[in-house]
Formats: sequence, C-alpha cells, structure tokens
Amino acid sequence: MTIDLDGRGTRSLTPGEVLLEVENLSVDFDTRHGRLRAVDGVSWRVRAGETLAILGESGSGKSVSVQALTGILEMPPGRIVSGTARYRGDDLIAMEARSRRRVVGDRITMVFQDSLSALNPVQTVGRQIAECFEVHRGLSRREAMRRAAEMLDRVRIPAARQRVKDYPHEFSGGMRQRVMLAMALALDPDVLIADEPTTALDVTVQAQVLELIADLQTDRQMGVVLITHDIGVVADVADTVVVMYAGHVVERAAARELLDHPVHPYTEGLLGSIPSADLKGHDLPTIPGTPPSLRTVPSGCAFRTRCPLAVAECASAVPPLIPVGPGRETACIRRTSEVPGVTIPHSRLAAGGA
Amino acid sequence: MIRFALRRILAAIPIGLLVTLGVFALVFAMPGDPLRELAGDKPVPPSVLAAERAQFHLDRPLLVQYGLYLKDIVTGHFGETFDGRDIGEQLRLRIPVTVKLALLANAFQFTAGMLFGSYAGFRRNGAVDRLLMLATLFVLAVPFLVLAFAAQYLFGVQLKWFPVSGTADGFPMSYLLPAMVIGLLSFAGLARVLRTSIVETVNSDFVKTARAKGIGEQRVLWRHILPNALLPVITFIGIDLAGIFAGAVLTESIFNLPGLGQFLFQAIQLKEGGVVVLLSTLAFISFIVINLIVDLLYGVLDPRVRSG
Amino acid sequence: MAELSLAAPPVETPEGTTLSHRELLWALLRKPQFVVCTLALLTFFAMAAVPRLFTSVDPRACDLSRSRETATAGHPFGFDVQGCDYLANVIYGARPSVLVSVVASIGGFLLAAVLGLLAGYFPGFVDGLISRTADVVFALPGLVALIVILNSVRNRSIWVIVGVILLIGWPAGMRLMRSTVFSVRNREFVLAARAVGVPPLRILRKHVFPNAMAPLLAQTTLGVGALVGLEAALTFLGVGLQPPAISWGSQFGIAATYRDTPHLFIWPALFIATMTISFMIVGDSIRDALDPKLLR
Repeated sequence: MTIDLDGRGTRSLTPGEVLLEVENLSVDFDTRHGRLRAVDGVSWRVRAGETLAILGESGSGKSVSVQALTGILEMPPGRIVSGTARYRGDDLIAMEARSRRRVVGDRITMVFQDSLSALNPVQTVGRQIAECFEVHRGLSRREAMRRAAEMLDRVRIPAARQRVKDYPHEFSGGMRQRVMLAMALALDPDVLIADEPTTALDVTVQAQVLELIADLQTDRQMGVVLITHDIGVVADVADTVVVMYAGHVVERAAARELLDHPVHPYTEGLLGSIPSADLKGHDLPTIPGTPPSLRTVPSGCAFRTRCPLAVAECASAVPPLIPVGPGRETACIRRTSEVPGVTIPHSRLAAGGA
Repeated sequence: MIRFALRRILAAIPIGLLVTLGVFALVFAMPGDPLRELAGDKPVPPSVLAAERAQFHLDRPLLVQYGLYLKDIVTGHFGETFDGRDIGEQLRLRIPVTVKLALLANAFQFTAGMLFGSYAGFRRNGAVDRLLMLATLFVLAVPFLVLAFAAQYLFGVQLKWFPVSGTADGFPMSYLLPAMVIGLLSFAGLARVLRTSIVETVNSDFVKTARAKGIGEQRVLWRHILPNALLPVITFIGIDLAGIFAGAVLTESIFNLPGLGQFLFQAIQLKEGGVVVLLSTLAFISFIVINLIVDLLYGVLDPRVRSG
Repeated sequence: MAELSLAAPPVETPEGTTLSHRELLWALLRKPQFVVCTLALLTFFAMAAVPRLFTSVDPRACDLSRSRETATAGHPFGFDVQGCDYLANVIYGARPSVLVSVVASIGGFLLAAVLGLLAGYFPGFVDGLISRTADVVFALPGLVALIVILNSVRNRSIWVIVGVILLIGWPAGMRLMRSTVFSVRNREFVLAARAVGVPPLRILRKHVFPNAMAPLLAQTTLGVGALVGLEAALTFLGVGLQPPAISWGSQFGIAATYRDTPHLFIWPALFIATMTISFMIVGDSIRDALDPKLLR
C-alpha cells in the first residue's frame, strides 16, 4: 500500500500524471441465459487535469466498467473476469474491500445520473454530505455539518446554511445534481467519475452543471471520467474520448480529432446523425438497426450488422485496436489509417451539442 | 403534529358515529324479540317484560335507543347484559384476555418476522429465503380455521404440550397456542413484506451512492438500507393491528377464550344492541388510534410524507 | 445508469413491451407449479359441478350405527357423526366453497372496478361520494359486520353470503383501482381520446379500464383462496350456510366438538388447504407473468 493517506486533500497533483489506469477489464453477468459479457477487454486512463469521456449508447458497458472498478457493481450477478484498475499504481480490483473503501469515496468519487433516486430520501442532504467527512476524516458531527454547508455553498446553492436541513425531494433536479456534486467533491478527490451527470437535466441546467465541474476541476487538477451518450457534452468538455460499443472500445482519440475526423464507422455514424441547419430539407442520416442486446452480440466485429462498410471478413474475429495516427486507435479492419471520407464541420457540433 | 392529530380525531368522530349506528341498525333490524327469545319457553309476565324492555331502552325508536346507548357509554354507566351480568365488570375481565392474546401474538410475530424477513432479504435466493417463501406461501394460503384446528389437534390433543382451549391454565400457558397461530399468520405477511422491501432497497440507487462514498457495510445497512426498508413494514403492522378486533372474534371462538371478541359474538347472537354498540365503539376507537399512531410514525420517519 | 443496469442482466422481456396473451399463456404453462395447481383447481371445479363423477355414494344415505367409524373398504374417509360416508360428504362440500369464492371474486372484481373507475375518473362529487362511503365501510371491522348482517338473515343461501361479502369487501379493491385510474387518466392516449370528443363512458371502457385493471386483477386472483377460508369460517361460526347444506365449514364445526375423531377434521382440512394453496400459487404465477420486473 503506497497510497499517501496522510496529506489527503492538500496534496497537489502533478499535471499530466496518470491517476487512474484501467487495463484489459472484462466483466461478465451470470443470467438465466448463461454467462454474458458486458465489458470486454476495456482499457483507458485518465490524467490529472484531464477530462476523459466514455461515449456509448445504453448497454454498451460504459457504466458497468466503472461500477466494476469502484466495487459497487453487484457481484453476483456481475463478475470481473480480468483486468486491473490502478489508482496511482495500486490495483483497485485486487484490493481488499476495506482498503478499496479508503480510495473509493475519498480519492475517487462518483456522481450518478438520477439524483432523486441516488440520494437517500429519508436523510437530509446535509447529513449525506457530512457523512463523507465523518467516515473518511473522522470529523465530529457538528463540524461535518458545518463543512457540508460550505460544500453546498461551493456548488452555488443559494441559502446553503438553511438548505443543509432539507431533504432531497425538496430540491429541483438541477439543484439536486449540485448536491450530488457537493457530496462527490467534499473530500477534494483526485478523480471524479460522473455517470451521465446531466442526462436528466434540461439544457440550460446541464450547461451550468458541466461548467461547475470544469471550474472545480481546474482548481486542483482533478481528473474527470465523464460517462455519456451525448456527443454535444463530449464536444463541450472532453479532452480525450473513448467510444464503446457492445462492451468493446472501438475508438480512442483526443476529443477534437475524434469530432473532426471520426475513423470508426460507428463514431462516424454517431456524428453524422446530429441534426443541424446544413441538413435542412434532407433526411437525417441515422445508423440503421438497433444496438445489440448482450445476448445477441454478432460474432467478430459487433457493429458489422449495422455497418455500411462491412465485409465477410468482419465476422471472423473481434478487430483489435490499431493505431491510426498519433495518440489514437480504432478497432476496424476497414479503416486502418486516419483518412476517412468525411469530416464534420464544427458548426454542426455546436448546433447539436449542449 | 398535535394539530394534525386533532384534525384526524375530529374527522374520525362522524365516521365513528356512522359506523356504530350502522352496526346498531343491523342489530335492531334483526327479526324477533331478543328478550322473549332469551326467556325461551318459560312464560314471562307481560309486566316483567315491559320493565325489562324499558331497562334496555327496547321500547324506544331506533335513533333514540342509539342515542341512549351512546349516552351510557360517554357517562360510563354501562348497565347490565340481558342475563344480568354487569357490563363494566365484564369489560374489566375480558379486556385483559384480548390484550394479552394480542401482545403475545405480536411479540411472536415481530421477533420471527423481522428476523426471518431481514435475513431472507439480505440472503436473497439462499436456502433460508427459499424455505421462508415456500413456508409463508403455505401459511398465507391455508385458511386460519384449518391452521388453528391443526395446531389444536397436534399440540393439544396429540402432544398435549398446550391446553386445547379455555383459560383454565392461566397466562401464559393458555394463551401460547392461539397466540402462536395468530402470530404465525401475521409473521408470514410481515416477513414477506420486509423481505421484498429489503430486496428493493438494497438494489436502489442511493445504496449504490452510499457504497460509492466508501462507507462501511454496517453503516450502509443501519443508516441507509434499514431506515428506508422499514417504511412499508410500518404500514403493514398498522393494517395488521387494526384487524385484531375482528380477528379476536374468530380466535376466541375457536380457542374458547373469554375475551372481547367472544363477548361481541355472543351479544350479536343475543341481539344485545347496547353491548354491540359499546364494543363496536371500542373497536372503532382502537382502529382510529392505531391508524393515527401509524400515520404519525410514518411522518416522523419519512420526510416526503411530512411535506406532502 | 438505471437503464444500463436493466440492459446488462436481461430480464424476460425487453422493458416497455407487454406480453401478448399467447406469450403470457406460454410463460405460465412453462411453470410446473402453475400447471399442477390449475389441474387441481379444475378438479375441484368439476367436483363442485358434478360431484357424482367422484363418488357414487349418496352423502345423505346414513347409518347411525356406523357413526364416526374410521376408514374401511369402500369408505376410504370413514364415516361422519351421523354415520354417512365421509368421502361423499367432503366431495359434495366442494360446491359452496367453489361457488362462494369464484362468484364473490368475479363480483368483487367487477364492483371494485366499476366504482374505482368512476371515483378515479370523475373527481369531485362522484369521487367524494364513493370514497367517503368506502372510508366508512373500511372502518367497520370486516368480520364483525359480516356476522352482524348474516346473523340478521334467516335463510342464508350461498347467494346471500356472496352478496354480503361483496357489500362489505369492495372498498379495498376500489381504492386500488382508483389509484391506478388516477395514474392513467392523464396519460396521452386518454387526453387524445378526450380531445377528439370520445364520450367519457367509452373512454373509460376502451382506454382507461384495459390499462388500469392489472393490479386489481392480480389482487383478486391472490384473494380467491382467502374467500374459501372466509366461507368456512362463517359457517363454522354459525352465520354461514345452514344444515342440511353440506359444506367444509360445517364439517369443521362438527369436528371441533369431536376432537377424538381426527378424520372428521383432517379430510375437509386437506381439501380446503389444497384448494386455497392452488388458488394462491396460480394467482402468484399470473402476477409474476404480468410483471416481469418481479422475476428478479
């Protein structure tokens, strides 16, 4: 155990330092239909000060992968088959639950999508935030409550001192998401994992919450893992993007590059289906078909049944991630270099994004 | 909170009057003259009959009779039963019987229900859970009558562990068997409600949040899971307690216990309007009080109810 | 996150879709306990309809000298107090139980559904009237009210008993229906129907009822068994069916006074328990099939 547990909260992070590194993570589910693979050989890393977006549709395994590495995935039916998740060198997956709890919840914290169901309905928000200070910092209840009020203030909730005594249902959706953020940021974590943090919010509130995360991130070089299905959100805040499809990483690139020149046909399809003024009067291009359920993942490349470029060869093996340019990789045997046919004009992203 | 309670009690009074009046009207509407039937074949002088009639207000119209019975209840002059027993004395003897039975049954129900329900909920699909689900399905499906008779036959007649019926052996011996039969039945319901509630709560998002906060399993259990999982249990216990009076009628008949249920049943058979009104009033008051306590408790434990 | 955790461990049906009737039937027939219990119930129904199929002995042909004798050849259940063949009596006793439980269930479902629809769809006076009446009836201790009413009826037929059970029992189902109607009444398809001027009763029948009936249906199927027990309890207390009607409840009443003759109790108890457990398991299976989320 080499984690420095003493100077917590005050220790500064070196910009660019790798904080969390996931390698070859695979997760299975035991179901009545046998064992299904929800996450298959996923790798990614997040550095200090960086925002990594994991982009994918629901069912692509993006949430399952982070739930598995933080130890909150229900096991069984879930089961981690392989992989490591190193927080500053220490593998969270191999760790005992007790040691992992000193990292997850303290150095690595999470924000969930549905803040109404993600907060305990019978406890005041103040108590729920204060709990972090009590458990991880050993503060007294009174002192913890004082810090909780400070946190509410820091996420810009008006009248924070009074509102600590309120219950989750007494907040609006956007305010509740701020409460979630206050809870996640209470201990100044090194890594914030935000699982669809803005999906349930309307567009203006969504922008405010993202802005808030970005502000708090720059304060102390926090790494952010942002799980989303919204390309607009990616365009707004992500530095690096990992695209997931049916449990596999299909593309990895810097956000700007990915948005400008998608290489994998799936990413291309996602970007192409953003509505915009350029397309007025034309049909909106969409990806044909629906994402496969885990029971019916096609052999070989999971995307081939919906792919316009698919050839017979695509069915023979799962395509590996191949470098297609500096710092980017794509898992497609038909696209092995960074010269795709399309480029997406920035105006479209702005129109389709948040 | 006090205002809430007062409002509820005030709202309950007209319902209570309607309910007891309804019950009384039904007794009133029963065909036949209760006093003459009580006398059987013995010739009763008309003057005696008339005097008795006046004593029990039987010579008055329905509403007046009802009003007089209510007045008797409010002033505490309960009077006598048709066969000359002092009603106040009867209540003093009978209330403890019913209360002891209810307390014993509830003690059994709570301990077993909470223990098995929570264990099964946390070890879902384990051996205990499967066994409990099967056993409670059986208990809930088999009619109370059959269950009670089977218990009497097995533990009373065959094994002779407990008296079959009556209160000759005193407390707690005479009460154990009926209490266990009632307790078994309510236990099945309670255990199932608690199990389902725990299974749902354990899988809820806020428990995931609590785990993501890195707090220990014990704290997750006591601070996050149980306070939420116990909410439906309170409702269940309230419904269960409110049904005790009606249940007492059947139980006390089967096990021949001289409690309020038996008293009420006899009064109905003898068409003793006064006693029926008195006992239905008692039943209604306990129903309202239990409901009120449950609602207040719910308000304390669930902030969503308080503000909504 | 919620959607994902659903997608990961797949349930029987994709969320959002409902099972067709045929799929529902297949899902049910795949469960052995459902098939066994349905067969048991069909047997009881046949017993109630044509008891002669199951015994050739006349239940009222008695020989007092054989009173309370135990099983002999040709009389596997022994004899009752009056020396009648007990097997024949237990078989003939199925009719009141089946009739009361089935008729009261169907009647109770219809009554609760209609009142619940009206109360849920017409707030204000109609709702107030129905709901306040329900409050009063609900506050009556159920069994006490049943006893009082039935005790005042001289000749109690099965139909009187069913009627009184309906009279006392409707509020719980009505409340359930009312609350589901509340959640359906402002859904888009109802608003659309209202917008194009479909008359209210037709909206209730064609749009609201089919979408709001499932919880009540599930509760009703689970409650059938309890009605069997209720009929027996009322007859045992002496306010149910009267002699010479043959019923399991009256057999219990007699068995209670002859504790040394266990077969008087065991056979009707076995039949009644089999029937109520079958009803319960069938109801449980239907509810599970209607609600795939509960399968987990």
